[in-house]
Amino acid sequence: MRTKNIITNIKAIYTMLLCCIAFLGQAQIEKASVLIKNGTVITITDGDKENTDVLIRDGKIQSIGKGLKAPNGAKVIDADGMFVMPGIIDAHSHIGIDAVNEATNVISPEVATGDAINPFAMTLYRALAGGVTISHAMHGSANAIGGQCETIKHRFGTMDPEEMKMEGAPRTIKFALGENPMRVHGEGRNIAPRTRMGIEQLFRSSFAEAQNYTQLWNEYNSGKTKTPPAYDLRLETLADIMAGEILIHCHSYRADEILMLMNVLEDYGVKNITFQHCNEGFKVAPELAAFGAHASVFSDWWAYKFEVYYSTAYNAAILMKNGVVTSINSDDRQLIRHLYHEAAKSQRYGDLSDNDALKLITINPAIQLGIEKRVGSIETGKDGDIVVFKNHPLSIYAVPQYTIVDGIVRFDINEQPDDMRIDIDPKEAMPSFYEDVHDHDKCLQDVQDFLLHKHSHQH
Amino acid sequence: MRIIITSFAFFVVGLLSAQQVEKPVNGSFLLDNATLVTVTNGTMTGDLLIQDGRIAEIEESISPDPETTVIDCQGKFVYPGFIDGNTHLGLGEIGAVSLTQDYNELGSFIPHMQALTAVNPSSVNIPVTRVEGVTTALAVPTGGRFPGTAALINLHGYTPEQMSAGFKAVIMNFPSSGKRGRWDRRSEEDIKKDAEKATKEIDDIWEKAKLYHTIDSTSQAQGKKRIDYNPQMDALMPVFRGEASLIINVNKKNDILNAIKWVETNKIKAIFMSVAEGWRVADEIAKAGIPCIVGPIMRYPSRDSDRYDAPYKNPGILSKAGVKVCIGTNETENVRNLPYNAGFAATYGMGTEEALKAVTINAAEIFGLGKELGSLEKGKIANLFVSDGDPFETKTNILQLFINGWNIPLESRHTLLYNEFLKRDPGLSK
Amino acid sequence: MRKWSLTWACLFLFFIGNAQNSDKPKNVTNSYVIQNVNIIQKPGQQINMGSIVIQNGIITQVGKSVNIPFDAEIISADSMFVYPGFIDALSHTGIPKDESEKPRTDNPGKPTNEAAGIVPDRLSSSLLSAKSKSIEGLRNLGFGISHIVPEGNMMPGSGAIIVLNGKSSEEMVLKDDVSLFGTFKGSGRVYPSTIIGVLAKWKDLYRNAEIAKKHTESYQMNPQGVGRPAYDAATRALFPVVGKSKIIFMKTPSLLSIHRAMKLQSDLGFNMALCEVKQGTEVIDRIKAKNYPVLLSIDIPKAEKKEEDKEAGKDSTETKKKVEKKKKDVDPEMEAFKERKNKSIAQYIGQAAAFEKAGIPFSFSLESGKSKDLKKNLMAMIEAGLSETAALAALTTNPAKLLGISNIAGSIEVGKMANLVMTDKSYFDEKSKIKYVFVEGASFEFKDKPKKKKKGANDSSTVKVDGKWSYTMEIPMPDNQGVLNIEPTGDTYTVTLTLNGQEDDPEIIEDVELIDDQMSFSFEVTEGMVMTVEMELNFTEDSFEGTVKAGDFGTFPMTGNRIADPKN
Repeated sequence: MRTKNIITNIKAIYTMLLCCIAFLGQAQIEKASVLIKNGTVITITDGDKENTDVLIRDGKIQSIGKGLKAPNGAKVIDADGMFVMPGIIDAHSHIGIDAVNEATNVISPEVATGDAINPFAMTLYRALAGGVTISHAMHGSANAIGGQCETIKHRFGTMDPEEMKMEGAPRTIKFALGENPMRVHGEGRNIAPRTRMGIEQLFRSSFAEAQNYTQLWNEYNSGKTKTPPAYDLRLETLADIMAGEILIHCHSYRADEILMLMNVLEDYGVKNITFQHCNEGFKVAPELAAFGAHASVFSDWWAYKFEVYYSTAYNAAILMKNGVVTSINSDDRQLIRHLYHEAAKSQRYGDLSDNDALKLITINPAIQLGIEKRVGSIETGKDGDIVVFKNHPLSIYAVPQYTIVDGIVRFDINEQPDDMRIDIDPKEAMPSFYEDVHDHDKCLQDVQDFLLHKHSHQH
Repeated sequence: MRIIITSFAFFVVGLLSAQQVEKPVNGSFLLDNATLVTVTNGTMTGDLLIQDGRIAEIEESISPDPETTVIDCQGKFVYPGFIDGNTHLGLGEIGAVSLTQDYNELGSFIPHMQALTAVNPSSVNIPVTRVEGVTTALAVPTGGRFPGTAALINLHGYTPEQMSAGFKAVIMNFPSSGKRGRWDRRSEEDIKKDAEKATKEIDDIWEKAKLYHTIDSTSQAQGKKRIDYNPQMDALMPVFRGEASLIINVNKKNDILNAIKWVETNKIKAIFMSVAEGWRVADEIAKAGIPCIVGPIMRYPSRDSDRYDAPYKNPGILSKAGVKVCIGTNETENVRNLPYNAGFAATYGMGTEEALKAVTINAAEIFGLGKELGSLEKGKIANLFVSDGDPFETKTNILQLFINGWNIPLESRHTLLYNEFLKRDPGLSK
Repeated sequence: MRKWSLTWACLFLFFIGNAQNSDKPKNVTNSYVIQNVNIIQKPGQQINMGSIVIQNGIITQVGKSVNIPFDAEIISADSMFVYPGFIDALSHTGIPKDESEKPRTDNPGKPTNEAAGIVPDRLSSSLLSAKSKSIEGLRNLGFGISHIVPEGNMMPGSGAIIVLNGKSSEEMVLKDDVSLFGTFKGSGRVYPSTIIGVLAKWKDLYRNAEIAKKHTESYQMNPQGVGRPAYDAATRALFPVVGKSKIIFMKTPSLLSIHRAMKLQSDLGFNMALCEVKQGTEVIDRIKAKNYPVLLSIDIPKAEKKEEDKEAGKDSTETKKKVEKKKKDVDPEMEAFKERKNKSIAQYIGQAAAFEKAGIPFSFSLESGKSKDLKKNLMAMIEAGLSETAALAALTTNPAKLLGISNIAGSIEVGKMANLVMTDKSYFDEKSKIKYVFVEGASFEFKDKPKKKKKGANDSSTVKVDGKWSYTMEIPMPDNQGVLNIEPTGDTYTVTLTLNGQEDDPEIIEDVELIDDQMSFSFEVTEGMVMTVEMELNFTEDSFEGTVKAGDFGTFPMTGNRIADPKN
């Protein structure tokens, strides 16, 4: 569409040639085979199966059953007395990327965290050690229309940032409502929006502008005019959102702003939205369910700012019981290390069943990221992303033993050294000690300090 | 509600108050036929009687008088209330709204700032915390070198004094040679220099305290009027004279070693707080006999090279080395996660029994309240709760809660919103 | 000190007034013959004991025997070694740091191109300052040609190839606007402020330029019925880039930045050279497959000497004990950290050798780090397996080819520009010294500094330097004599310097270094003019000789005699 017509023509053959060369030069995504024997297999979509084997062949789950044979050279894991579940998926994190916010412009859909992947980030390994195989590396919440996000597979050990990307995962984008964009732009710079009214109009004007841009290109491509419009990656991306090519993940807290965005999207015919954080989602659960919107929430975070003061840790349970596809996310390099425990809190707060609690960190986030056909449950044909636990994953005594991505054991509690760094500083032998206990401001990372209140949590 | 109540009278009260605010109830309560996890005297099945705010009796069987509310605890567990050794509870309400935060006064040498003064008994955070079994917390001021005096509070009361649990301590942030955060661009060299400078400042303060002590004790002995008003030094004197504990916040290995030296040189009764790298120097801390408020346990490793579970293992390693360990979450609105911090400690080497002690009797003893709090023993203050299982497990529900013998309704903003919105009325309609 | 300022101010005037006949006599010829020299014509090709004839800046003869022009100055090279003048494949040489205050932007989301650091239309030639010290600095290391680019954020400007000698930028520029320098550096304050903003902006600008170029071209062919293309200098400057006639030199020191650059390049399709590469070993295969030109950084981390090596040579029992004691309380974790660090260092240092082994030709860029460390760092790379031939190629033929100047530079061949570097031993001998550098036929000679007297290693200073000394500076000025008073203070010295007739206005220097018998110190002249005066003096019992360096004016000999014994 749009400019693609021209560029495609120019580039078609060239790109093909380039691809051939690139193929030679680029390493393939590494896959392997592994047999996990005799565990309690928590499939998520087909119940729990005791004393059952799971065979992963060349990165895909080939079979689930009893007495399976390992192919030649495949690793065998004895999971006797252990629990085997799908790799945990975090629908909201900022790990493994070198930049989170391009906070200079309140509308910045053209930027993409996929351009800033850092495969050496220790956060990735430590998430694996918590059983998380996939995370949604999101842009921050400084801007009303933030950047595109990247669904990454935790292939820690890989040096190429491109190989961290989950190949074939749909494009996603971050939107943000409420206090964060109001604080950064309105309060910080005296540039609209300073209110939730202003935020609504930003969405409306952006969508209208993108429609206009598409129109101009259509006129040019159909020969109606000979003057090509100026190329604008920002409007290109907005047009892609409106065409439904990009899933929206919107940072939101208050019930009113959630309703507002659903109204705007309805007016422009846009579907596919997951409300992130969605602390007051419980108040509008029926509306969310009716719109088909999803919610990705914290297990229990609240009160770190005014818009989350009227929250409840029972949010996930209320949403689930009202038929909203709900996930529990981390948004934090520490929480991502024990998402299984965060999901377990939905049992204290709302009595969810084991399977519903585990859906919150497996198939549901997979649905929200549009990758549910590939991951999120243990089914034949799906990706070989698995975590093996000692003790039930919802127990406080659960300890991840192996985390497997594409059939490769990327975390092994017994075999790996303490120091797992890949990129070693040639200047300092002893890695620095960091005092910070509360590192709760990733969502506004890269926003200049003067715009933020110190010592506060800014999710 | 899931509470099983056999007393008819109590049931009626419950019904009536459904329309209004539920209030805590005082009186005489018998926890009947419960599994009593006493912490200090093993686990037994029996009855526990609460009277006049204290545990009046623990026996295999107690016959209640007619005034006593009997609560059937068949198959249920009774635990002493949990104690969090490091929180901002009562001092902070909304993170990003600075005017709701009362734990960080201006100034660096202000040991006379009293946390108890600023504890807000009506903080929404307090009910949210206690309904999860946390009955007591240390409210800690932060920032600067000597940010003030922390206070131990019980999580029920309408005035700070009613809440006070009887322990206070001056807080000191030991000079750190670590980086403050990823934004900290100082070189290792500069950090070292800064820490050395700060250490010198502390030594200067102690020199002055020494002089102040001499003048102060002489003037008292001779009945003379003392020199001018100096609340900072007055606040430090009990610490200087070894009469009161000083809580020292310290994390990095070398800083801990320096803090031990400093404590020994100045003969201070010290408690260490946070202690992230305690596991590297557990033997040295044990040798010095300094108890530790460790935590948060669920924290991110301090160095890129650390094993991923180093923070989880920290309390277990310290405890095994012989250090008396309690746990501090360093939380405000989520102090309720204390049992899970203890659970992680238990899972990663400490064991459930030790972890349970860490959040009960050890904390009580560290705060000098071993005879009052921290276990189910006759005569102790009735801070306890009834659960349907292991309180470290998320699946477990807290069924009854007592603070100072008051039966506290298990209600908080979170439960109220749940009850209102699980089935919203009206639901979906235009 | 007022008088000192006046002295140097006069010196300054003297230089201005005598620009035509400074202390160096004007050249009487532009012809040189270098005789009896080992000629390394290009990497791997050598003529032993041959001659080179230079006329008017061009090499006119090379060989075992040559015809000596009648007007030639003969340089008897006495078995020295001569190499093609080095070519710096990318640096900021001659471009002063931009310290101008950036205009404030009210809306950080819509900054001007300049504020955002997007100035592909900025020419290096317009920024070049012939007076910059860095030009002389690079020349002194043997370089004759430099590919210079401006410093800045994502698109700092276009590159120029310059000859490292000339009185004005016009004289120096060989080719202008030859390349586009690119980085991934955000501006911090305005859009694009971060790596994600920068990469989006690269894509946006590039694709926009592709369409704008087509639009502009079609408008030029037939404007009828076509809207007029907007004029935008930055976009125009990208036309040769999207037209593939201009290469982007992308600054990619880290492995991640290399990956990012390769991804961007394969998305957009421009021609790219990777420059200032420090961590490229990991992606050698891909670089080879994509045939990217590579500029390796000469900036490498310092290898740590092992403890045992440090102690080696001192064979006393005491040091042995020390080593044993150290072994006893080693922290295994720390040892592992050190080992990992050393491995990492080895990989940085071994990068060039790895590229050579993979058969990838590369050049060196001097964009970061200290160019002074060139030789030292080259030697470290050679020790790590880089061949001398490949090292030389990276400084000569490879950059010449990359920059499209092979026909005039990179080797010692007839018809090429007379850029040469002459050393007393093989350049790659650890102790070699550069004796001459020729840049386009202009000769720069480097004389040995007065030799330091070596004494016993443990017995550092053998001469008592304290006392009063008279001195004479060989500067073309009357005020060139005075008294130097050296007094011991603690374990160092204080020097009091006066000029004759101005004893009431002394210069007192407290930061003095004495190594063996060489004393060095410096002081600032701030009145009238600003400069640093540096003195380096070698003492014997009753006299000294050495040099005085006066800012940019040059270095002059200085001698002195003892006039009073400290004991008297």
